[in-house]
Amino acid sequence: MKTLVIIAALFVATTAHAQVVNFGALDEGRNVATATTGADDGVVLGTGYARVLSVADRPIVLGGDLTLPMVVDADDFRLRAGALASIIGDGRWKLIGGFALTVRGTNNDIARMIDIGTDVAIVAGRYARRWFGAAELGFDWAMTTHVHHSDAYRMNVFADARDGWYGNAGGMIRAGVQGGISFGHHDVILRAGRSLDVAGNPAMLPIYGTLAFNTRW
Amino acid sequence: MQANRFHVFVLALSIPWSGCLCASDPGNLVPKTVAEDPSLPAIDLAGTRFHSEAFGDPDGPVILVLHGGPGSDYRCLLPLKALADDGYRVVFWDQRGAGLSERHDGDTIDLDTYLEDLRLVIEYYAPGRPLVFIGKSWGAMYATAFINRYGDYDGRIKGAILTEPGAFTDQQLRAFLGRLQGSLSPLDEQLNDAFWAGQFMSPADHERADYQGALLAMRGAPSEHRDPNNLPPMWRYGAVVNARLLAIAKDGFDWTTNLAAFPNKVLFLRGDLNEAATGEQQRELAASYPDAEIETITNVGHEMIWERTDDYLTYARAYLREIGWVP
Repeated sequence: MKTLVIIAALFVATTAHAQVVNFGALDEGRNVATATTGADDGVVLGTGYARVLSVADRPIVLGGDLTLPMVVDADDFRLRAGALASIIGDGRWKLIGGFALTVRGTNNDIARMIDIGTDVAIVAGRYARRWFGAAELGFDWAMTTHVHHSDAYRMNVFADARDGWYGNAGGMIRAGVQGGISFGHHDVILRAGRSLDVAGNPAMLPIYGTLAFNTRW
Repeated sequence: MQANRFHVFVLALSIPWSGCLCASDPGNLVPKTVAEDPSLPAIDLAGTRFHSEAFGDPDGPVILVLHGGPGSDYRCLLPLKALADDGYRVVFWDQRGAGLSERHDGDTIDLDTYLEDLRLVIEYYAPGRPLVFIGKSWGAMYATAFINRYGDYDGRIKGAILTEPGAFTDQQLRAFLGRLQGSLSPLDEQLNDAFWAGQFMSPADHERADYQGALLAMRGAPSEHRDPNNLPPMWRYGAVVNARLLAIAKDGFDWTTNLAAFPNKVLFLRGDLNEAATGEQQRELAASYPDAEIETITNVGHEMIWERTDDYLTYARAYLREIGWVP
C-alpha cells in the first residue's frame, strides 16, 4: 500500500504537457474545458477537459486532452490523461508538478506507428487570481512504439525493416515559459519554448508555442 | 502480501518491454552498413570502410559516380550501370558516413576529409589513369569542390557531368536552400508528418536519426518535383553527415576560385520542372567554368537519372563522345 501511495504521489508530484490552468483562479469553477492551437510537434488543434479536486486541502487537477495536427490526417492523434498538483507553495508562488499517460498515433510515408508514453513536467511561477507566469521544464518519453512499416518504405528503402514494438524509442525535452490572464470564468494562456531530442539536439520542430482558451464552471 | 503486490506491479510494468525491439540495433529500422554486414561490397580506405562497387571492363575508360545528399547513396544512380555495357568502367561508392558506408560521428567529418576520400577512391579504382565524374546534386557540388582544389588533377580529370548542383558558394547555397526548403510548408502533410513523427522515434542515435531523415528524404522537397508514383530508391539517409556538411557549408565556402583554370568541357544537366535548381541558377553556376554547356531534359524534376534514364544517358553519351571519352 505504501508503494502505491508513493507511486500515486509521483504521479501527482510531477504539469502535463497540454493541460495548463491558472492555479490562482481555481476557485472560479471546478470544471475546466480547454481549446488549444499552435505549434506543438506540428501545427495542432486540441481540446481537453479537467476536473479540480481537493485532496488534503490541496488542489489536484485531473484531466485529459486530445490533440490533432491541423493537417487533416485521421491517423495522427495524441490522447493524454493526467494530473497536476501544487507541490510547494500555498501563496502566490507555486511549484507545480504534472504527470500524464499518452497514447498517440501516426501514419506517414515510412510507417504506421502507435506509441505509449509518459509526460512529466515541473512548472514554477507566480499565480494570482487575474494572471500567472511560470517557467516549465518537461520530458515527453516515448516509452514504447509499435511500428508497422509501409509498402513504400519496404520497396524504396529497406525491404527487411522489422515491424513490432520498440522499447524506449525516444523522447523530447522542453524548456519554456507559460503565462496567462484570467477574467470571469475564462483564461487565455500562452506557452512557448524550445524542444530538444534526448540527445540534446534541437528537435525537427525546435520550438513550441501554443495559445489556449479555458472556460471554467 | 505488500511485497507480492509490488512484485506484480513491477512485473506489469516490465511486460511492455519484454520482447521489445531495440531501435539502435543494426538492421531493425535501417539497413546494416558495411561495418555490420561483411557480405556487402566494400573497400577499406582512409581509415574507414566504404560501400562501393564497380561495373564493366576494368580496363575501360573510368566514370566515377558521385551521389547526392549529402548523406544519401548511389542506389538511385544504378541505372548508370548501363554505361558499363558501352565499355566504360563505372564506379559507384557511398561517401563517408553515407548510405551503406560506415557511420562516423559528425565531429570527425570535414571538407578536407571528404576531398581526400575522393582522391583516394580515384587512386583505388583508377591509379594513375584519367577519368570523368558524373555527379548528382550534392555529388555535382562535391566534384566541383575537388576540381577547384585539384584542377584537372595532373590532366586526369577529363570532364564532368554535373546534374543539378545546388551551389558552389555559400551565398548560392542560401538562395538554393531557400527555394528547396521554402517549398515545404508546416501546413502540408509531408512536413507535418515529419514533425509529428519525432514523438514516436526521436534521433537519439545514428540509426534513429537516419530513420527520421528517411521520412523527409523519401519524397524530397515539393520544389524538386519527384514523380510520387516512381520514387527513387535509397538504402540509408546518413542524417549525421548531412547535418555536419550543411553546417560546415553554412559557415562559408567558395568553390569557384580556381574553376577558371579547368581546361575541359563540363556538361550541366537539369530537369525543367525543378523549381529549386532553376535554369537561371544553373546558368549562374555554369558560368564559373570556362567551358560549360547546359542541357535541359523536359517534363522531369530533380530525379531525372531515375525517372528518365534513357534521356539522361542520351545526353551523357553525346557529351562523352564530344570530349573523346569513349571505350
